Amino acid sequence: MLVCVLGYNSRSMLKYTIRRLLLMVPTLFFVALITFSLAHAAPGGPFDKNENKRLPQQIEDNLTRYYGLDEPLPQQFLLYLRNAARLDFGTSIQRNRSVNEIIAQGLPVTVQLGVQALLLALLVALPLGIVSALKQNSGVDYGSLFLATIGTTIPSFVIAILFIYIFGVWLRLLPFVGWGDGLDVRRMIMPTVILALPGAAFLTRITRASMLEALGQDYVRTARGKGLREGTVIVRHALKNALIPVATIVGPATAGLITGSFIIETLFSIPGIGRLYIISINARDYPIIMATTLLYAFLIVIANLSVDLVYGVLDPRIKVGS
Amino acid sequence: MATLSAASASQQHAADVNVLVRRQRSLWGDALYRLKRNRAAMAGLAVVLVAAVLAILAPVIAPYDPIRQDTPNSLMEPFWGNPKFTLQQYPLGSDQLGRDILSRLIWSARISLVVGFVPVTLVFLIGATVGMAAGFYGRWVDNLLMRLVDVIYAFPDLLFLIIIMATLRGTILGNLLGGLVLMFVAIAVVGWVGMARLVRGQVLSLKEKEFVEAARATGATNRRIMFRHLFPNTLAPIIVSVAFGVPSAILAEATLSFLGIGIKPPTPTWGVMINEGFVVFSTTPWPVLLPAFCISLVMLAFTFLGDGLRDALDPRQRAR
Amino acid sequence: MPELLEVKDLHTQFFTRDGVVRAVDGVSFELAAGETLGIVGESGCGKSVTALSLMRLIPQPPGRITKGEILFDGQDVLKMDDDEVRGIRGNRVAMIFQDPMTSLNPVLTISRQVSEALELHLRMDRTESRKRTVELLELVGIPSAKSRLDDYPHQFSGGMRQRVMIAMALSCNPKLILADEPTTALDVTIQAQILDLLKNLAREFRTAFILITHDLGVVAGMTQRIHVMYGGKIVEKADTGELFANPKHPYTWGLLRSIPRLDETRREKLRPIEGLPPDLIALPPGCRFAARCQYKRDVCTEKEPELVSIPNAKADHEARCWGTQAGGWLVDVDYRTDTTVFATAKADA
Repeated sequence: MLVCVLGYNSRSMLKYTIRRLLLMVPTLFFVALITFSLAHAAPGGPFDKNENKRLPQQIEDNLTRYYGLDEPLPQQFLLYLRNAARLDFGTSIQRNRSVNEIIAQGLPVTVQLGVQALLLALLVALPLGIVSALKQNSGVDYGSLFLATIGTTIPSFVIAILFIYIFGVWLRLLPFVGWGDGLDVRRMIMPTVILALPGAAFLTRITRASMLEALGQDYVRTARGKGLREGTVIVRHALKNALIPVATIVGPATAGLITGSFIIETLFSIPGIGRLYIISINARDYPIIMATTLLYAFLIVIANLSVDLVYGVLDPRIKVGS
Repeated sequence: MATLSAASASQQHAADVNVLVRRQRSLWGDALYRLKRNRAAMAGLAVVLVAAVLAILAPVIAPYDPIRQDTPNSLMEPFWGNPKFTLQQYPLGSDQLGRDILSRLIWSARISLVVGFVPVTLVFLIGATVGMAAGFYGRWVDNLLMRLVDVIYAFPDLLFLIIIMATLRGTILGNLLGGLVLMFVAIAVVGWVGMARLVRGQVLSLKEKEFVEAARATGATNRRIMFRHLFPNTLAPIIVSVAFGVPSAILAEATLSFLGIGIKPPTPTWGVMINEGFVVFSTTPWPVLLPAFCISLVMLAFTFLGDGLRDALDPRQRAR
Repeated sequence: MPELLEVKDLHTQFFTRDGVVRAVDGVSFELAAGETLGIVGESGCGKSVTALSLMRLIPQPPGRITKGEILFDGQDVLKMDDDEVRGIRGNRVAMIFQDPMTSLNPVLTISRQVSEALELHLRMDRTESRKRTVELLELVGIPSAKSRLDDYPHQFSGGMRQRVMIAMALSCNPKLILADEPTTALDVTIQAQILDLLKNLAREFRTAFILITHDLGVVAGMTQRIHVMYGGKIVEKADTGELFANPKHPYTWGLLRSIPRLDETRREKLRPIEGLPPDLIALPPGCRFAARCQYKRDVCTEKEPELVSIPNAKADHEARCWGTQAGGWLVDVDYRTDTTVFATAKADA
């Protein structure tokens, strides 16, 4: 059924997808290697964060042996890879629970936040960008350019702080701690909006620029020359072409959402894997660091792959797999 | 029947007519002309220059030592909030350790601008070289280099930065210049791939153009082709990339410092100031708002400048 | 019999930051049904803008048709409202654009692009329009038209794409087709094929054509009449044969002289027209061609000549030149033997 939908390119696209998925393996390998090396290159281990409450040497030795931290590094790495292939990512040093379990707890929250932010960004940016291009130099155009500029130049943590202060502390309109049960709209508004803002700003600019370029093309003049109504010209001719470059931006935008979630989750105390990640890095909780990094890399690769496939569907000139 | 002198006279005539009818401009002259007409870009440039001057002259113009603590006078209001303000006090107030905010802001400008430019230069050097080599030599060189690029590219930028900064902070590298060198290295390591991809793409498309073939036909060596022919034609997108790379480096430093894994205190940077001011935000917002304003202003300036450069260098918009 | 098209004193201008560009500065001509007219001139002379003005396709922010009348089938196009204009575009007047690579939408199938006009103007449904599209594509010489209906423009060669554009233009049986440099972007051999196609279509469907080009060779075998444009104005009007045999404007002489001829026995250097076209924002007073004209005299830089009938030529042959008008100093000059030229040039020098 998917093949029918994709139609034109379908068979080569399938081969391309499989090839890209296979390429993901060496990429993830290197990601793991780099992360592992860096994590272990840092001085100090997971047990000396609390200098006041140092564990007795005996217990620390036992724990070190238990987690295999006294083995030579390459051996640790190979062992890790073997386990990872079976999706066994070990036990968190700090929390003493299985990594898979901890991530499974935090992942839905982060995914929900990310998806909400992405949808919000698209719903706002696309119409705004299109209307701006159609009505250049109008109020809407200046408004959207203003928004886009704010979103890309003011750091998101600054905006977050401002929002928390204005809406959370001063006006007491919106709560700003935690995530609730995933249905608490008031609690979710600020983090979602602030996470969406940079992506929306960027997408607006790209959409506007891309639409303007499409509207200036010769084939738009041909379309008008056939007597088509302006609305048809815009939607059927210009828009379809304009959305192609925009689609390719969604990949990097998703990456931006992922990195943005670190800051947002930390600021709003949201129990997702972004906040987990920051905490684990500071605590040198290697299993979680490794697993989360691999997870993020995996998500990025999938996001980029989806974007390339979408691009192949939208633009008939692209022979996916070339 | 046309004699040589008649021919040259008519050529002169044609030359005269040409000059009367059209003003000629070179590629770069034309771009510069258009950039100068872009008011937002010029405003951005002005802000950047002011910031640069402030940064260079920091030891001279900052009224106080930025790390000097004056705890009895901590959390003083800036001059607009203090009815009893005298010139002996801190013009923009003080933070919770009594340090003068204005001086810290000025010194922060130093670090932030340096963090903007130095890594970007590294990014340019490494990325352009790799991209040029990959695009020009092709085949296995290209394959190898691009696999490496793909691996690094698979890391989200901030993630990689966080990992590098967090893990190497305690090392010797991390302690050089109060974490500054590590910051340079981190941003450069993460950023060169974008530049490499950009340059490679340009080189790939330029490689097939006739002027390269022509250069080869006149016996140019590979290196000469790369430097004198290909490189100047890739400059325009590189310049734009650099112009946007600087604010993103500044933002990266601010974010990392805000998260606590950037530059080490007591060295002031805008990000560090926000990090430190966050705890007292509800009582005095100024220790956070003022550096936030500075970051935003500088980033805005660079963004306008970058936009202006991109529009000016866009070959499709050549002026008459 | 009333003409199909009457253009009266058309002025089209572009308002730019550097000034007002007077792209079309007082152009008038007529065209009868079924006739093929050639408009010739170099880049920037206003010929394309004239064609776009006829269909009111001038982009409105910088451009505007500031004066004149365009009577198509008796109705003034410039006084129509937007819906009426859209009604005749693609329907009774169609245009073929210069570059088939960029003039076709890369993300739509050619079937879609050809049938758009059919569905809009002739109210065909999808099945009917597809059938008609196949007929049209076969008519313009695209092989295996039926199987290529759902192909995209990038899957066609340049010549084929231009044929698709022609099919698009023909789709609703227009009375007039404007062809703006239809062969400039194509190989020479393909050019010949396309021109042949256009000629046959003109004859078969009795469609009027305006063929716009900078290439005199193209109009020679195609048109009944030729208008030469320079600097936003028409500088010469004549029947095709008459224009080549007996041209009466120094610019036309320059154009003809700069074409190499196979039948020339003497080995002469090609004589190009020196200089560049005038700046359409800051037009010189007097004749616009004067700066580049070897025959100019004082009057040429002072007053602009009118387009009038000229002596020593057919009745409907007109030219805009002080020298070739009645009483002018070029009336008896044969441009092919140019002894007069150098005598005059030396006199001026």
